[in-house]
Order: sequence, then structure tokens, then C-alpha cells
Amino acid sequence: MTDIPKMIRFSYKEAMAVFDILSRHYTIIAPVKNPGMGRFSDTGLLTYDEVNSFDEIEFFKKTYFSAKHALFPIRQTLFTFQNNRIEEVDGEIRATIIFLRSCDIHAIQVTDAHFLKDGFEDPYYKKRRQRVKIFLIECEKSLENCFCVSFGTNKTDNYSAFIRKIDDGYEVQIKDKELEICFPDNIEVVEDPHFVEQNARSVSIPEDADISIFEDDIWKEYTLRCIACGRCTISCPTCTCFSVQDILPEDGATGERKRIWSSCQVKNFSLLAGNHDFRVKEGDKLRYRVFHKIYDFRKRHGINMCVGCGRCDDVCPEYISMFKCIEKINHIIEARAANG
Amino acid sequence: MDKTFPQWRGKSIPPDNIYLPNPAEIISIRRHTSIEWSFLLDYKVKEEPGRFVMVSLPYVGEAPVSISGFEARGIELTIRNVGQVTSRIFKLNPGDIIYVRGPYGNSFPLEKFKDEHLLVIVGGSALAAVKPVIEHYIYKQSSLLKRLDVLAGFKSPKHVLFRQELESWKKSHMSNKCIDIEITVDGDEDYAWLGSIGFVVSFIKNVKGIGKDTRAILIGPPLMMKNSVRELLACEVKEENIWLSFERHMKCGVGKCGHCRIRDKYVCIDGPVFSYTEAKELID
Repeated sequence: MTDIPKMIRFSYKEAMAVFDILSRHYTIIAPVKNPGMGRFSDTGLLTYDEVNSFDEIEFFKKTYFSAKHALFPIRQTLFTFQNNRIEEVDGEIRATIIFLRSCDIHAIQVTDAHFLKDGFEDPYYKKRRQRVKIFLIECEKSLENCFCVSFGTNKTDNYSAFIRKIDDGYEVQIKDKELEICFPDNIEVVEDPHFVEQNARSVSIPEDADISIFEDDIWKEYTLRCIACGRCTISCPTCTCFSVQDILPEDGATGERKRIWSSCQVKNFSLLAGNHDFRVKEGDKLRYRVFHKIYDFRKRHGINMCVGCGRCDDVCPEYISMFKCIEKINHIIEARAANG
Repeated sequence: MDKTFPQWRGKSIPPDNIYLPNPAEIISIRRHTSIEWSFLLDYKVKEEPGRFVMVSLPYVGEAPVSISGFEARGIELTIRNVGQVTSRIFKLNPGDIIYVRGPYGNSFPLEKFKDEHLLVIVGGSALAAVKPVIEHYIYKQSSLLKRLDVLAGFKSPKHVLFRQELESWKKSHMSNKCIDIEITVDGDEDYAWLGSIGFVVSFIKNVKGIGKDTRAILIGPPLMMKNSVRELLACEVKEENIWLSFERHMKCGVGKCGHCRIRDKYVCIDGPVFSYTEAKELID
């Protein structure tokens, strides 16, 4: 039997006090506005960042970047070389709450599968993951470019608490007992989270990926359009490729080995020492990414890597769409089936 | 910066952190060509031909290197001086410390070669990765095979690696009729080569007894592997009896960094050795 979650409602006035208690135990990461930081003049940028009050949190719009950096930082020191020895420097990680939509919660299940369940366990990811609690925020209606319903990531019950912003305050459903002490003791009835049931667009996910599709002409078009900037992978909540760099500071004695985000869409990702490269054309790189998202990852882990958040479509400067690409792949498969 | 690296040893490394390397002393260095040297390291692992280690120098970086020899004193790595990390390694001397993680990846399925005809086709410095297999059969377990053929091709006479080993393998051929070693060069501008000249691919059909019962190992540059597979299949070698060893860019060696992924496989943890039935589906 599942426990009935504790339900609470508090006003904007009380919110400050609630946040105060929460932030004593947790670092809180949520969507925040960055005025003037947008792509175009006088536009803002919505990102995941640490917040200092509930007011700062943007509940209703999609962020430009995902929250993956909370678990997998953009740059991360693995260890230092100092005083003739190698030392692990990753200190204590503070308990963290992340405000996530359903698709982004599914994205964490994807990165969990990759970092924790595939052979070796990644110690740096694990350390952060163990300290994270998820607060669900709902989508009242489907946002621009979303196609979560197609991937079945529109619903989830994988969260510690659910929080809704209402006209005069906030409503919370708490599933995780540990969190109860952080909230006032007023029992209310809070409606269950609403999930999006329909997006403006939908696509079916190809069941199989025959390698003959790799030879199709659609990839040539992408070679002409894609500029290999890597925005799609940087904004993606499930892209986790990284490179490793050694840093030698000026004093020459202490140094460190870091990992930093990398992208299969950017030049030299697969370049070998000796100058042999395996994917040079942009179309091939795009095909490599798209098939990982919709087929290859599922073959390995049983779940789709793409969660249909549509961020790659939002950010592409060449207006290349993951969604359209999946549609095109479906068309090729259908045409081939029709031709026998 | 001093070229001797931190002489740190013996401190226990947290066993659960897969990214922390272990210090290993360089015991000796052998120079084959100006850019290909073998380093014997004080780092002992189980003999599993085909696997690789991640080698690193603090302040410089890390790179995957296949194990070219399993000796009582430690592992031998044959390194080609073509990258940032390797060019620093070439400045080291015996007694210096190098950092190692691993071994990682799978190994050649020796159990599947038992009592069979094994053909090893290798191009250039890839000989380093398959040398432990050849030595395993020549020095330790020759009775385990029906027959061993090695076809090794190099660009030119001055690119020939492991001359000493090749000589002694050939000697064992004199004493054992079931071993045949063929060394070829693609071209010989200086007329310095007494052996065969031509691409390895063109010698495949002349291998004695090649056919549907042959087991083949293929390792080398991508184009050479592609052409050799076609030739092997034309000689009726079965797809499932061909094994290829892949080389890819790697940053972690443990299936996390994503650089070596091909479709649903990671070369570092699912490979580097793949049977052709798997490999033919692996389009980069």
C-alpha cells in the first residue's frame, strides 16, 4: 500500500519562512530567469540555477538548458597532483533539491542507467545523485516544441515532492518523509499533479533501425545545414559525453585532471591520434546522435534516451529539428515497407 | 617542469574510484623505429591478450594503449609517438614513473581457437595488440592449435616492428611445420627487403588450408580490415569465425565518456574485440 502523501498549502507570505527551513538542509536548484542573457537583444534566458527564494522560480516556462549540470558539472576536477601524490578532491556534496518537469525526471533515469548501471559505476555522479531529491513541477499545458507524449515521458511518479504555484501561494504534496519537517503542519487537500496528455505534435518511435537507413540521402541535407556548434547536445538533458584534460597551473607543481562536457556533434570528437577520423560529415554526426537517442540507447538499457523535451529544437541556430528527423526516418521506413 | 614525475607509490587508492591511476615504474625501453618503442612496466596483470590499459602522465593527459606483452615482471606497452601524451612518454627513462589504469576491455576468445586453424592478419603497429596471442601459441600452447598462420604487413622495411620477435617466430616455424609466418611490405623503395612485397590482403588466398574451418583475427588500419574481411569471406571463412579488434578515440576506458561508442556498443567495455557478425552492424 502506498502512503498518502502529506499535503500542505502556504501563502506567499509564509513562503519565505518555508524556504528558510528548506535551504538550511538543502541547496535548491530550479528554473530562474537571467534577464538580458538571451540569444537576441533584450531577451532573457531561462536556466537551472541555485535559488534563494520561491519568488525567483519560474514555474511555467521551459528552460533553455537542462538541470544535468547539478549531477554532471560542466567542468569537474577528478583529482589533483600535488606534493608528489594524487589526491581525490571531490569534497562533501550538499543535499540538493531540484525542481523538475516530468520529462527531465525521465532524463535523470536515463543518466542513472548510463552512469550507475552500465558495468562500472561513476563515483562522481553517484556521489551527487545520492544527495538529490526531486520536486516535480507540472506542465499545465504542453510547451513549445515538446513531444513528451510520443516518448511516454509526460507522466512520472518518481519524485520526493510535488509543488504547484497557485494564485495566492503554493501547494505541496510530500511523498518523502524526510522532507516533512521542512514544511508547516497544515493538512489540506492538494489535487494530484496534472500531466500533459497531448502535445501539439506527435511522432511514432521507430522500432528497428536497419543500417541501410544510414545510406539515405536525408543525411546529406543535414551535412549542408548543420554547423556543428553542439548546442543540441549541450542543452540536452541526457547527453553526457565528456573529455578529460590535465591542467598545469603557473606554479608548475600542482595540477589537476578534469573532465569537461564534450559533444559528438563537434569537430574531432572521434579523431584518433594519427589523424584518422570516423565521422567527419555533419550529417553522419547528426545521424549518430539521433539514432542513439531513439534506438541505440534503448537497445542497451531498455528505455529511450530522448525524452521529448524539445530543447534541441529550441536551441538549434539552423532550425534543425529532432522531431522532424524522426518523422523523416519513419517516412523512409514506411516507403521501404511499401516497396517491399 | 622536471621530467621525472612524482615518485609517489604504495599509498592506497580508493578502490571504488575508476578514474584514479596507479603509479608504475618503467623497467626498460626497447626502440623498434624512431616513433615506435616498447616500455616494460612494473604493473602486473592476468594474461588476457587483446585488452588495453589507460596510460597517463600527470599534467599531460591520458591515452588508451593495448598490452603488447605479458611478462613475469609486468606488462609491455608498445607506443607510437603520434600524440600529446605519447610524445611526453618518449622523453622518459627507465626508473621513471608512469601512471596506469586497467586493464580494460575484452580479450581474444582463445578458447574458440582450440584445435583449429588460426590465421592472424595484422597491419602495421597493430601487431603490438595481437603479439600476445601469437606468443601464447608459439611459446606456450602450440599444441592447442591445428595450425597457426601469421600474415603481417608493414608500409616499408623501415616500418617493420618487433624484428627480434619476428625472427624468433620464424625460427620456431623451422622446428614446427604447423606454424607459418609471412611478413610483407607494401613497398620497398630502397630495395632493402628480401621478403614478399604487396598488401597483406593479396596474400590471404595463398594461406595454406584456408577455408570454412579457419578462425581469423584481423587487426590494423580500417581500410585494410575492410578489404581483408571481404577477401576472407571470398575464401569461405565464416562470418562468426572472424574477429576484429577496433581502435577508437577514448577518454575514460570504462564506458562513460562516450567517445568510442558505435551504435549500442562501447569499444572500451564491449570490445575492443568483436566477431564479424557483431562488427558488420557497427557503422560509426
